[in-house]
Amino acid sequence: MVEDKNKLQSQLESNLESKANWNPKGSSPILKIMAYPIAIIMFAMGIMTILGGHITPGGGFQGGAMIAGGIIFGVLVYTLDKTPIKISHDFIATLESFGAFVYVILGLIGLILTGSFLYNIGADMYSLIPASIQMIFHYPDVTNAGIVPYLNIAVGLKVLVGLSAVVIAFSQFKKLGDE
Amino acid sequence: MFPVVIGPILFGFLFGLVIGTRIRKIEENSFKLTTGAIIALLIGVLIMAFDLGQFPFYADMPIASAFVSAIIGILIGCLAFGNSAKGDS
Repeated sequence: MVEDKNKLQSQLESNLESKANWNPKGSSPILKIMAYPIAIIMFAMGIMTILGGHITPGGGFQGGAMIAGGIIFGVLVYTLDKTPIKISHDFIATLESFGAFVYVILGLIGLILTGSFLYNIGADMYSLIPASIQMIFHYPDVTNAGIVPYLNIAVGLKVLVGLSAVVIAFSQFKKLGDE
Repeated sequence: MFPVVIGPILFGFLFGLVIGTRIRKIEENSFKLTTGAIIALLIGVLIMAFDLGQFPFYADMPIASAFVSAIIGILIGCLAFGNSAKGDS
């Protein structure tokens, strides 16, 4: 009985160890050279997708997922300890909070000024607010998108840190296994 | 020819700056972001931006301005603040 328990315990530990050492020898030099610039280009593609969300396919979620893909790429190739893309808990918490804050504030401003939550105060399709306030929230491009790009940016910030946090948490199973 | 569209250039730069602050310029056992690497990256980015083309309804310049400004923001953020970035590990 005791032997079985010890055997089970050692098996469990070896399983945890094998999960933790998913990249014990490190990635190949090709991956190590290419992952960093490709991650930077993925970030820029994600930002472009977010900022084009009001006129092209894409938007906050898709662009945020692309940026998170760059972060995940770095974690997979270099491992979390050695990745050049350093995402800390404070950074994640700050961006997540800022994204939610911007989204809610933009919605509340519409609610206070017009009675409709998330009313597009930057475009003002129904002429409900003064032009001076509309100009403040008007996104500076040729499409009269109003606050939609700002909402895309807020959602993009939330998604990029949310998806990154999942992978960063999964990659730290070794520490949980050691405890 | 429309005037230059400020929105994607401005917000692309700011967004890139925020992300660039978390990227270390030189990390042990990985790619080193030296001057030559930055120049090579910028050349590749300009070719990509030209192939991507302008956004729909934006006819201000023949390249993807948000993409280029995001890369510039990332590089400036990385060079200015990147080395002080610390992860939780």
